[in-house]
Order: sequence, then C-alpha cells, then structure tokens
Amino acid sequence: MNISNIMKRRFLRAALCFGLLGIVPVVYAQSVLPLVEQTLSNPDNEPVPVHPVPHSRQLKWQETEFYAFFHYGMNTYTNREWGYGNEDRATFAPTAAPNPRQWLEVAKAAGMRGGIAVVKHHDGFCLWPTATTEHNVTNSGNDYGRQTNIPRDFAEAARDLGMKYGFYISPWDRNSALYGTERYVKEVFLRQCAEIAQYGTDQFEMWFDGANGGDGYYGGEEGRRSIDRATYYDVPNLRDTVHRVCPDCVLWGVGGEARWIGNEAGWAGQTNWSTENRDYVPEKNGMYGTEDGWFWLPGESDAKATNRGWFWHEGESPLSPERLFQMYLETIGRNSTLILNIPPNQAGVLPDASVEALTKMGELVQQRLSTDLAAKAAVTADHVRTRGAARHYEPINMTDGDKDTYWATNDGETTATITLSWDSPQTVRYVELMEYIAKGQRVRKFRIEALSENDTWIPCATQVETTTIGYKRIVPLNGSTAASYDEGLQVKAMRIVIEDSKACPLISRVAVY
Amino acid sequence: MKMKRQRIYTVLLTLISFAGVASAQNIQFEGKDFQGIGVYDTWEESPFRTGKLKGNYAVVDNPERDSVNNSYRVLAIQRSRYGSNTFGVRIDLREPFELTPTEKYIHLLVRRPYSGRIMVVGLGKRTDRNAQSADTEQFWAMTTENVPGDVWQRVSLAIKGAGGIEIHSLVVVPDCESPHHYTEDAICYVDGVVVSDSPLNTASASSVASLPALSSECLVSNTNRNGEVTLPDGSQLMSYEHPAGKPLRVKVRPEVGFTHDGMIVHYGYGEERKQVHIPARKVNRKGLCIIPARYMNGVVELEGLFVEVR
Repeated sequence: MNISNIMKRRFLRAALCFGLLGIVPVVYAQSVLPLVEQTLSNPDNEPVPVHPVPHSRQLKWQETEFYAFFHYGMNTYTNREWGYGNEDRATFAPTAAPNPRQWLEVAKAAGMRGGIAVVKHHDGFCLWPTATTEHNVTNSGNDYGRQTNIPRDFAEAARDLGMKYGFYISPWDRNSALYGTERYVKEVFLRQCAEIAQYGTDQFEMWFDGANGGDGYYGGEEGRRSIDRATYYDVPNLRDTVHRVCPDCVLWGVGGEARWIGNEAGWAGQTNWSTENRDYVPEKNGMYGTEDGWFWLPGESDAKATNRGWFWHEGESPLSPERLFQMYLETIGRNSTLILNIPPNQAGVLPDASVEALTKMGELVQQRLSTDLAAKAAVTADHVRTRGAARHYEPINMTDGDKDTYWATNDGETTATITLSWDSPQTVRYVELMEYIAKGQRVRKFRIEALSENDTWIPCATQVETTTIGYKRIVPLNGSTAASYDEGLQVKAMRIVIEDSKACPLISRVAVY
Repeated sequence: MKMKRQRIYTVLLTLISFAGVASAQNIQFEGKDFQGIGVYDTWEESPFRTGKLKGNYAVVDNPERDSVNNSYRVLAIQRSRYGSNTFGVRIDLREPFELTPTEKYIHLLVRRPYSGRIMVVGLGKRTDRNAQSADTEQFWAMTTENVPGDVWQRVSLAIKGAGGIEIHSLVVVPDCESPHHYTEDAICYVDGVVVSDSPLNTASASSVASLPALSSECLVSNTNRNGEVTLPDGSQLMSYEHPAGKPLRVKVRPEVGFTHDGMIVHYGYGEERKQVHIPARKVNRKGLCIIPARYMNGVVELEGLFVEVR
C-alpha cells in the first residue's frame, strides 16, 4: 500500500468521524444553500411528535404516579419545621430503631408505587454516616441514632417491596460554615449527592427543595447568607453528574426536570400542561404549565396527609381518607404526580392513625378506580388513523391494557368522537383518559356525554374544565372531587368528544368506573 | 475587484464597531472565525443524533443585505421538520469562553421564514472535570416573545452560570417551535454572533428583541416559596413591564405559618447588576411596600424573604 493510499484512507476516516459528529472542520463558502430533500421512512404511519416530548426518564417517573414523602430527621425531635442548624446532635435520639420498611409498607397499602425519604433538611443534619460533616447520625444521642442509616435501609426496603425510591437532600444547609461560598457546592453538596447515589443507582427522583439562603447557624457565624439561585448550585452540571450515576433519576425542583405544582395543598390546575418555559416562569405558574413551553417539565404535587407540618408533631392527626382521595383526583387525575407526606414519629415509624387513614385511602382508590367498565364495552371512533405495516390505531388500543398502543386519527384531524356502548345500562361515576405522551401532549379541549335510557346524549361534568388530558385525566362525572362517589349515572353508552388538539390526538387509555 | 474591496471594508467596519465591547467571541462568517459548524438537537431521540439524518448547513452569501445586516457572508441551515423545537445550527468556537455568575450577553442576527421564538444553547464543561464531555448543555437562552420572520432580526440574550464552566459551542435554534405541522423544510440564516459583557449591541441601532430598552422600562418578576410578592391588587409579577426610574408599589404575602423579613431586590444589568435588602420595617402592616425608583432599572427580581413563624 503506497503512502498516497494511506493518506487517502486517513482522510476518509477523519471525514467519516466528523460526519458522524455532524461537524465539519472546514467550511467551503458557497453562494446559496440548496434544500436537500430529506425523508424518514415511516412504514407504520406513526404520527410525528409534537415537541417538546418527555425524556425516557421522565416517562418512567410519570408512570410512578403516586408516591410517599417521609419527612424525618432532627426536626422530629425539636418540634420544628425548619431547624436553624445549631441543634445539639444528641437531640436526635430515636426511641426505637427507625423503620423505613414500615413506612414503605404503608405506602404500598395506600396504592403508592414508591417513596422519597428526607435524608438532610435545611438544618443540615445528615441521616447517614457522611464524610462531609460531623453534623450527622454518627454523633447522635443514642445507639438507635448512631446506627441509623436511612438511605441504606430505605433503598433496601424499597427493592424488597418492589417500589421505587429516591431522596430529598436540602441544597440549603443552615449548619454548614461553607454555605454561600463556592466551596460548599463542591465540597459538601455535590459530595453528599454522590454519597447518596452509592446506596443505589436505580433512584427515580432526587428532591431538591427551592428554599434557598436566609438566616442560619452557619458554623457559628450565624447571620444571613444569600445566594443566586440561578447559578449557585450549578444545576446543569449537577444534573450531568447525577445522570451519569443514576440515569433514570429525575431531578425535581431546583434540578429542573419536574416542576413544583405551585401549591402544597394537593391540587393541580384542571388545565395542566406538562410543557413549560423552564427558567422563565415563576413557580406560582406550576399548577397550569404553559401550552407552548419549550421544555417538558411535568408537575408534581407535594401535599401533607396530616393536619400539622411536614415533620411529625405531637397531637397531629391524619386527614380523612375521603379528603386524601379528593387530592388523588385533583392531582393524579389532573396530569400531575402526587407525593403525599406521611411523617414518621420519634420512634421512627408511622403512627397508627396515619397507617389507618392511608390504608383506607388505598381501599377507596381500589374500590372506586379499579373495575374498568370500558373493558367490556364496544369501543368505536368516528376517525381512525390509517394503519401501517405493523401497527394499527384502532379504538381497541385504548382498552387493551397496553400503554404502548394508542388510538389516533389521521394527520390534520384534530376533532373526533370516541363512543363506548354496553349491552345493558351501567352505573358509572368516573372517566379516565390518558394521552400517549411519548409523542407530546396534544389535547386542548374535550367533553364527555352519556346516553340516557331515553336515548338522548346528556353532557356530564359540565362544571369541570375538560381541557387538557396529558398523562392522565380522571373526571368525576358528578363534577365534584370532594364528593365524587355518589349513586352514579345509569348509562347505555358514553362518548368522549375531542374538540381541539394541537395535532392528531393519541389516546392510549380510556377507562370508565 | 470592487466587490472584494467593499467586502474588506465591511469586515473592517464591523471590527471597528465592536472595538469598544469587551467581547469574548465575535463570529461574522466573513472569514474562518469559528472552529467548525454542524447541527445539534437537545432531543436525544432526534434523527440527527441517532444518525438517520445529516444536517445541511454552509456559509453562503447573505440572501438579502439590508440596513440590519449588510454583511456578505452568513451561516445557513436547513431547518428540518424532523428536528425538534430545539434543533439548530452548532458553531464550535475557536476559543472557549467562561460562563460566569455575572451576566454576559449573546447578540446575533437571525433571518428565517417563520415568526417565533429563538434560542441559543451553550455546550461546554466544567474546567475541573477532565472526563466531562464538552457537549454538556450549560444554558438555554430564549427570546421571551415572538421574533418576526422574513427579515433580518437582531436578538440579544442574557446568559450566566456558575463559575468554572467553559463554553465550547453555541447552538443557534432559529425556530424554537414544534415543527409537527410543517410539510417541508426551510432555510434559516444566522450571522454576527457576538458574546459580550454589555447588553447593548453596538453593532446595530436596531431594537433588542428580548431585553427591555435600557432607558424606558424594566422587567419585574418574583420567584419565591412560602409566599409571594405581587402588585397591590394581587396581580402576579411575571415579566411585568414597569417604567424605569419610577417607584413600584408591591404587596408582600407570606403563606400561612410564615412571616417575612423584607425582601431582596435584584436590579440592573450584567456587571452593573446589584442587590439590596429592603428590611421588614419598610413593609407596612397590610404588607404594602414601595420599591424606590433608584432600584427600578434593568431586570428587577423581587425575592421575598419568607421565614417560618416561630
């Protein structure tokens, strides 16, 4: 082989490399750029995405739907919500070994699919042996405390129970002398995140609270420290670091992959887009999202299942199962996830009253939203997308239980009617709809109608804003989320009329309960 | 020959125009003032990332020289309908610049057939992480309003980040909208990419698309938890436009269980950006407070200091 050929091969190899990267090192000027005809083969006639679309980790996260929040730590023993950071470490003295397994068993009984444990709140006290600070369990007040390792035990229990798990690590640290300096992020916060990642790379969410800066102990200096929230935590590189270790871990809040729903009262907007202009809108818009937001930033509702704080307080009691079910309808039923807080007590377990309320709430969900009448209905649609070589878009895709199949219309058809009919009248109370969001959120407006015994179509839930659907929408047919389970409607058929959509609607599930 | 002289004159004029700006980057596409170009899509399943499609781009003649952009050579990209809303042309820089906590500004010219938003994505890495990819997305700066199509438009965007980050590439997204209804591709043009410490683009007298005019009005917003700062009637302060140099009356509204310790007012532009603490005693019992006129300039952010009631 002569030198000329070798050089030619090297050149071709280099050109190939640059071509794969989409980069050319030298650009030869030309007078115009001609359009190059580009097409992608589409043998299955799949609809094109409506952007933005979710990342695969966001899809997995959304499917978790309902999960628990466990606020446990120094505040459990000080009757505080925000510890100042100067708490005596000996104050952390559990009266029994903290039992994360019990926490998750209760969550599972409530129908939850995972949980997030607070392992460091703003007071800076770490619930695992950490090399980053002395302010941790190894210096606590008794043997139960010194042997505590919440991330280890929580992750193990979650795996045993087949549940997802994640952790809350407060970025704001009122104990650290370094907080507010550049060193804090590198030497404390990021190292703590890395330590937590060692307890499991299959975490589904890290919860980064938006509370930042203010007064605190700060290693004894005390006073107020302020930071620039937009830059201080170096979020792009925090995300990059976490995703290298935990590829399916969504970073909530400060992390910018799931948004705060904008309130802590357990409700999302009836109109709720998962799209948002990341970095451009205030958190108070969290309930609704932004229809033309440039980024997929789905909402998560954080709410308390008890009547006091996020942490356990003497004398607290749980909300009623009916109230918790209302939250379920107003969050999960409105295209949000629900992270419901159940605080462990000073023995490190969930109190009996909370266990009972959550278990009953789970029973309500099971009783009211598990017998799907659509499964035995005849389902039709007035528009159906032309089938592809190996894929069809028939209405049956909405009731086949397969989340990866969906009914669709042809491109340009943004209105359609889905009809469900039964051989005999049915008693119905809820309609559940799910969009196939992997290709973007689309539906802007729909309505639900029921066919009465005298063969007239009656509008249902007229006081409900039947606008967006998103990942999941549950509409109580009597229009009330507070008292949704009544005698129900007697219907021979139902229809869902999609009145407006960004593009052809893609519905992966319709259920009637 | 005449054309060549004119081209040299234009380049010199451009350089002179930017002489007063502390500029980290100045890419005019008249010569080889960049390392490489390509396409980039933040959507990980983009056919341009999976290798199913290749980008179409080149430095070409300016399709329409006008008073906003009279340069001869510009960067052209085929806006593919198969790319996402963040598909754009990638410009690899000859020298990286540092992303800093102090705002810098990207000024550029864009011409495309669409009206809509424009975005610039910064790709880079931390200097203290050797193994990190220089393609890590570091910022996404977008115009806050639609930029008209079919004519050259000047766009300015503010960027900032934690220190210690080098930006190696800029991705200009000329059409930050979903292309799902497009039936064909189109050619978009980019020119005059300048990274500067100044919000003012001295290269052109035309209006700035995404920053408020410095002398006339300021943009007010608030981002808080456990409470909010609103207008006295409860209206949200979300990109609220207010005359610069005029005091603003606001209401501080802690949530139940919280009180306030006044607020921090961030104001001004870039290196001139400052912050001041308005103490709680300046807020009356009804939560009303006046932000003094001297703080009402540039981008104003009101950060309520909400603390738990003890």
